[in-house]
Amino acid sequence: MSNKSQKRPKVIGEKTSLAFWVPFYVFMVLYAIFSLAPIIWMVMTSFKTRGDVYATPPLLIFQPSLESYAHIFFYSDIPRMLLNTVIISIGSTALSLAVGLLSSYALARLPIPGREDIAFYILSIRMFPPIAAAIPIFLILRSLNLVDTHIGMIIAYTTFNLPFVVWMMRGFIENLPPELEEAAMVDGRSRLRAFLDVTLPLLKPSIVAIAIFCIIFSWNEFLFALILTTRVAKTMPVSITEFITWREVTWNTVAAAATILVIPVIIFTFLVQKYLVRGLTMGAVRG
Amino acid sequence: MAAKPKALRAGLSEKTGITPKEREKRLGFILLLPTLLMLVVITLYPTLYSIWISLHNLVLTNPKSNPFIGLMNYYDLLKDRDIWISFGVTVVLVIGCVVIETVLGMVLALLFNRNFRGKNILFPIFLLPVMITPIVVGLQWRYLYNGEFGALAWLFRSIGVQNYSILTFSNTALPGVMVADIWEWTPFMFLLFLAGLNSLPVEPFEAARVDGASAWRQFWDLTLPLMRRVLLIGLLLRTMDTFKMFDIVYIMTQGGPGLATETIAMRIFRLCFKFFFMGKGAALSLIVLVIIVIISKQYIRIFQEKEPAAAVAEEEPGAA
Repeated sequence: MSNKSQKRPKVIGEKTSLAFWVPFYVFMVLYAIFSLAPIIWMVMTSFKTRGDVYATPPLLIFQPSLESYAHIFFYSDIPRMLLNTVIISIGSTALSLAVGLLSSYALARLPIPGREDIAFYILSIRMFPPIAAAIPIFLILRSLNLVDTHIGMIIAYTTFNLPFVVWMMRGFIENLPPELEEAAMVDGRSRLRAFLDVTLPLLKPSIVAIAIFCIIFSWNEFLFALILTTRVAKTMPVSITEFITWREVTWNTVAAAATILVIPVIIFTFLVQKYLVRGLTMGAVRG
Repeated sequence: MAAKPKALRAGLSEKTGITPKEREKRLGFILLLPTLLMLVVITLYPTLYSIWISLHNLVLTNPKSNPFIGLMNYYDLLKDRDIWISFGVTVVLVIGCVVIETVLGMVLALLFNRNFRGKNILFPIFLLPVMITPIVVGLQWRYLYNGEFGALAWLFRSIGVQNYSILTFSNTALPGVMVADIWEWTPFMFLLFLAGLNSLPVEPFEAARVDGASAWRQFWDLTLPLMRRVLLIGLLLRTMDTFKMFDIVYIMTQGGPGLATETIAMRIFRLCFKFFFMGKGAALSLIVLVIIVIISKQYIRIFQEKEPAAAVAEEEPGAA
């Protein structure tokens, strides 16, 4: 935290001449265009009529129409899908954080036998191809009558959010010097108290960053949603694919649904961007 | 809540006969238990189930007949030329995507590690792709690639190539899919590396600059080693995820044309849901799991920090 006033190391050297800045900005702008163009194109497509979508050469200037959005809001279930996506994302993230935080601390600091192996086991869960896991998880949920429910989906998503939380959080905790807690414990606190009073506040930015990623992962997840839901708890990514039929792809409707799915995420990104870097910066405390 | 004086706690050991270390171990277990419980319950069954299924010849079109065939599924898979093609496709995909994402992400992070005008606008723009649903990413690139009405087709026409749908030709289908993946995930590496760069200690770099080290030297000998942990996390996560990549391939090409983009995950999907060979699908999944585990262990072995960063920083000034 105290480093903010210090100059960041300029790893590329101190050049500030024009010969550096011109190519620098050219590259930056080019990459920005590369990043933005497909998204902007998709948003533009969502405002085209069905006919305009197939125009050759592709139209840059066209008569905008809201027909795809009207179709989505009045004739389809998309608004409810959006709500499902929100509920499941936030629910799964909250659950994973609640369970994972304490466990990652245990893995980072406490002398548990077989610690490294347990940590690797938790990470390895994420290595399992989700397709193979989807069916057994479906069977588990079915025996609990949780198929196509929000709770079922939240539990299913925790299988990949929880390892992520534990693995990342453990790395961050390991980067903080253990002296912090030891100092607190000398003061008379128990190990758990030391963690809650001293270390946890320091980890707040990291927790926020991890939460952001968990929400994004859950928001965008497709495979489990495809297999584990039918009507009630279906999420947006699955409903988008329903616009792709054997006859045709109604690109403008697809684009509109995609835009609706993506707009909250874009707004979210702009709001949380500064937390991301701050949170992922490890070793926030320098001795 | 008043903190108990340590003396009282020390007395606790004598009273109950449990050493502080024991106590910490138990606390650790208790804290770890909910996570492990949840994960084991949810994932043990799928793993055991997959292993069990992979040893049987379960074909969903005939669910009553479930003969035990031992390792035949594995043998058939390894003999199948198509499976090896899938592996090849996946390897190309993983290496190509991960390398480019890492290099590009690192370049972007280094460039962003200074203050410049427009940084606050460019930063969220650069981040955007990683936030977009992979399904949407696949769709938007599929739309762009379309040979008739896609935006890129227009560019092709101007150099005289007509109706070239990138995803329908086996030469360009895989690169096409790779571009979509790189587009989406480079910002992830960029963000990770930027955070890593931000947390590097300043002293070694100042010392190096005083010693007259060039920018390249600084990068190669200082930045990279100090970023070991971050590099490990990034490479590990991306390699694992690219290996399992399904969403983008499914929505863009479904594995086609032919087998050009049939990644392993797509293959498993086909085995399970198109051909209904559940046994083979499960067997292939387990093979993939083992491969990923082996690769991950290698990564960890290579990148594990041998000495804490502080020691490295200390050595630098007095290195000569």
